Amino acid sequence: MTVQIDGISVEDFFMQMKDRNVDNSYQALKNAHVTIAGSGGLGSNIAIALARSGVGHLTLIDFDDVELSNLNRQQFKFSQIGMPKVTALKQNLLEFNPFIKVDAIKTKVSAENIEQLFADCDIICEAFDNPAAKAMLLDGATSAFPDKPLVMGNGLAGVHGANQIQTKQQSPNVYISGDGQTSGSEGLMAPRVIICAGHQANAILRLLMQLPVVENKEEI
Amino acid sequence: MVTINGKPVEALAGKPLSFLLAQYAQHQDNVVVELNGSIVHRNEIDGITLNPNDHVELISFVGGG
Repeated sequence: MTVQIDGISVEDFFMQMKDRNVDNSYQALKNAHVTIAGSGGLGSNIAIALARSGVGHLTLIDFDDVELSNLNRQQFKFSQIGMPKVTALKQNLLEFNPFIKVDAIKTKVSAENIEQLFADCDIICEAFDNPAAKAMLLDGATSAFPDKPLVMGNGLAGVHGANQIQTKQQSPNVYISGDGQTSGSEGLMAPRVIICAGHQANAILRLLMQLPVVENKEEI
Repeated sequence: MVTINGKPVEALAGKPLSFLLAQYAQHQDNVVVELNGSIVHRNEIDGITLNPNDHVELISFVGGG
C-alpha cells in the first residue's frame, strides 16, 4: 500500500519536487542524515531549507522553548510560544515536507554528549547562538569525528551589508559561514540570519551532492 | 617568527601556546586554536610550546544565531 497524506502519495510528492529541484540531487539528499545543533534563528531556517530540498532525515537538537522574542527571526509562529523549539520546528517541517524523517531531541549539547548525539549523522550543522557553545562544538566534534563535515555559522548580526556574509573552508572538514565579526548584542534581524542560514544550508547540499563547497568564481 | 592570524609577532617562539592564548584571545571560551593548519583540542593545549615559523590561527566566535 502506498502511504498517502491528504490524498498525495510519497511518489507524487517527490515527482513534483524533482521537477523543480536540481537534477541528480534527489537520491543524494533523500538518503542523507543531517543533525542540526540549535533550533533558533539559524537552525530553524537551515532546517526548513533542507526539508524543502528533500534531505531525508533531519535531527534537531535544542534545549529551549519558543518565546515571544524569537519571532523576529526564528521560523516559529505565535501559536507555538511555550512549546519546545524542537517540537515546534518538527511540526513546521512536516507541514512543508511530510515525507522526511525528523527526530527532535530536547537537550543541551555539551562536551560530554557530543560523541553520542552526532554519531549517526552524515553532516553536523552548528546553529547555536552562544559563542562558547560554538567553540565547544568545533573542539568536540573535530575531536570525536575528524572525518565528518561540520558546517558552522559565525557573525550574522545587525543590518550590515549582505555580501559580507561568506562561506570559507576553515580546515578540510570545517566550513564557517558569516561575517566573522558582528555579534548578537547589537541585535539580530531576520534577513542576515536567513542569509547566513542559506549559506550553511547550501554548503550542506553541496557536500551531500559531492560538490566543492567553496568554488572559484569562474566555476559557478 | 610566529604568525598569529596572518600577522608576524616577535618573541613568541619558545613560549607556551597557553601564554599566547592568554595574551591574544579576549574570551578564551569563544576561541578554538589552529596550529599550522590543525585544530589543537582543548586537552592538548597545555604542553605545547611555540616553535619559530609556527602559524597560529585563533578562530574566534561571536554570538548570534
